[in-house]
Amino acid sequence: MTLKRCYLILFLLLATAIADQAFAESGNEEAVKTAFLYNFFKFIDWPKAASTEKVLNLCTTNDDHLGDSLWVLKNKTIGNTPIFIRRGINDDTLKTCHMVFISGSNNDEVIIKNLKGLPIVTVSDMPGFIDHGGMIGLVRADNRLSFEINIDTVNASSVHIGTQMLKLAKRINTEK
Amino acid sequence: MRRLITTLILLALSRSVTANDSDTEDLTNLSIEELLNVEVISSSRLGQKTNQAPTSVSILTASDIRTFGWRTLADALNGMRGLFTANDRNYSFLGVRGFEKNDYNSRVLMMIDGLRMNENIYDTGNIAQEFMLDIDLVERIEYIPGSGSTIYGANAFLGFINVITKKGKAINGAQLAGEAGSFDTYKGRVSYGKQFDNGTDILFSASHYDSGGVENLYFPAHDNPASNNGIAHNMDTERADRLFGKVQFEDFTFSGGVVDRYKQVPTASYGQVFNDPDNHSVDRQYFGNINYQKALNDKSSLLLKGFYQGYDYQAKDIYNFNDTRTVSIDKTVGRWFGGEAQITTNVFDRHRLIFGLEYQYDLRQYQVNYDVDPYYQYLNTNRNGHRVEVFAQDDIQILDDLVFSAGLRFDYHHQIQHLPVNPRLGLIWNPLSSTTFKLLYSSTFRAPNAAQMDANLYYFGVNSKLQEEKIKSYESIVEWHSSDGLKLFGSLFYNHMEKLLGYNSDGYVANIDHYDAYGAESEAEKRWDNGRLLKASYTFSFLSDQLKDGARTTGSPQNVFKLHYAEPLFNNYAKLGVENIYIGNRKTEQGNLADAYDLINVNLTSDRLMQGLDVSLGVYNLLDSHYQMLGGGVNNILLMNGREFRVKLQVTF
Repeated sequence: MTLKRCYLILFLLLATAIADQAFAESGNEEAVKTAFLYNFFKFIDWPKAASTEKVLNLCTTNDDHLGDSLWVLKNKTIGNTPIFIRRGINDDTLKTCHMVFISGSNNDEVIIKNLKGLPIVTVSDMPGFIDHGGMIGLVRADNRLSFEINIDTVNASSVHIGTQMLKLAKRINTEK
Repeated sequence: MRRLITTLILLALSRSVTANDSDTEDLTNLSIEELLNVEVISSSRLGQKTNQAPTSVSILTASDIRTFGWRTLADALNGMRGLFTANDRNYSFLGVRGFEKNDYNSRVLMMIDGLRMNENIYDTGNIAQEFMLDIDLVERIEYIPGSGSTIYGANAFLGFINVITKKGKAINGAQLAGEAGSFDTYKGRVSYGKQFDNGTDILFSASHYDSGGVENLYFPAHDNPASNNGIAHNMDTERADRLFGKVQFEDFTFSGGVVDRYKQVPTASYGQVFNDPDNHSVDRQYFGNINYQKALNDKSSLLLKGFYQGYDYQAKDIYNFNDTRTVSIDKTVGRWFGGEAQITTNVFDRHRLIFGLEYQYDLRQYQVNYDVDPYYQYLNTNRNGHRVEVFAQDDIQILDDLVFSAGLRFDYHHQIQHLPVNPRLGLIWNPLSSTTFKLLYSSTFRAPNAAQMDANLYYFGVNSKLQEEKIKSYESIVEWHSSDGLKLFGSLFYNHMEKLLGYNSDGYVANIDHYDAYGAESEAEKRWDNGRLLKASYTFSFLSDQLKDGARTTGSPQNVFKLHYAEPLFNNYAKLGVENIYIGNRKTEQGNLADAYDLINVNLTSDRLMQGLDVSLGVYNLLDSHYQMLGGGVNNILLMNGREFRVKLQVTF
């Protein structure tokens, strides 16, 4: 293969990649939330003890309202670590999760309290979640989803969120 | 070499196919930055990506409503591409792509959560204080102009508007809101919303609106000593009370609402005694609805709906007959109920099928008009009958980047003799993932309403032989999105309307009007991650009146321009929303022109001053222009209010 041809292939690959990138898509809410959860895994480091497990446990509480969308993560991996989905988890079992998605449940404060200080990332789409001591809140504004982070709770739990993700957060709150 | 390119193109195609074709949407290939730009959609009958829908959908959200301080649905609609509102100091009317006839919005389908709101006497689709919902309960507003609306049924003649209510979760607690504005205007609202552990979501809300109105209104047509030199003094009072409730339990949603609105009518357009404070109208409308939505399997879903609705209208008009003050009462009672079944399925590969059946029984269409003393009855009619609508639509994925959408609807309506069959066709081509082209054609009809059938303006008791109005609409659209939140939209449209109802030279209602609308529309919108928004749209339209040799039609502005700008301030502590609405001049019934006008509205909001507190301060019509609207009857042109202020406080706990 000549060098010229190599460049051409490279160029075409780039072009298709760019064409794919230019997709300012629309999607249903569940799918967007699921994709956010997946992306969060890429930016979060768990302390050694928690990462001895061979899988990343993604848990949801009762009635997570993510429907079938969440199952698209069933065969996904982060690096070489597969994601394991456990839905409708409650009580102490939650403490074995890496990430917990709490949807529209009014006992979020109890869950937050139980998980306080543990290396478990709490995510919710409830309004004001991070102000109640949750770590990552998914918020809907201007017809788009974005997220906010309570950095104090995150730091207290000894998980680490990458700066790239912190930069993209819509709001970073410190605990009151 | 060519083979290599072909392979790469196929590779690129296969990538987008895997991204789009799976039954469950998978967006995990998007980066976190891209996810922040994904538009979240949840509309029931759209149920697909907006860039693949055979329509051109415009969407406003609760956040836009808050940012720009819109006080009513009419305010919000006035900010949408291609729409504009008019007002006759009693009702607000919607103009769609150049067509505006003060027709009580009977040619636009108005829906709340997919339930038809046009009542069954005048087909009114209310949008201002007479509208069912408090604007604070609105989550989203979707607007689809003519072409896309065939499957949505009767009244979707020029377009359709679906107002989606908030979930209780969005309120999340008890909420109190109070506002005060110019002309002694006050509004209070109390709401409670919650989503429980088991997923049950509830929302209840009550609100009261009260406006003293403009103290002195000047009407040139009444400028003579006998009628207070054209000054209507304390004649602009308006009140509205609203209740709304919604409970979502598993696959069921129960909702209900009522609005009761009183408005003094200062215009004395049709011979009423000017400046008599008894001239007023009252509109009361209510609905109850049950929805059942169920995924039958992973490829099909079912929607069932049942509803009961009512509308009561009563107007008091004061006339001077033979030097005697005579009170005239105009009263209507509408009651109707019905249901709907809809199945959406993807069981056939590359086909997305929708089947629907709608039924409505007009239980009561009662109209009465009489003078109180001496008693004389001009009108006393009632009707009832069935409406059945069947529709089917198939979105066929012909090629990976090409969708052909074909729809057909069949109607039975007790107020017309024919059984109209109307198609909708669309071709949607996505040559690039960022670019979509659409070619759309549809036709539909509007049955004469009960008032047009029975309440002939000059010949009471005479029933005209009326037929349905017809429209054919053609539209071509191009849409483009960048990866960083810029959207461009362009459209060319042509609407051919015939047999529209008008008054012939003898004063009978008849199917005589015939219009052709030619136009072009464009919009550019950019949203930044920090919440900044810049949006501009321009609509040109020419509505030609074929009954007048193609001359420009009354009430139709040729130029409509809109600019919206939102900016987060002080490190997100506040948000500024600036809106500029330009409406071109319009021809009046008497042949002269109502001036073009420019409205600038500025609104500042903050929810960071105190936990749970949301404050907003708005200035409407900043330039203080008394802009001109078309009146009816003797009032050729009405002058609207100048600058207005509003302060709003909302506490959630």
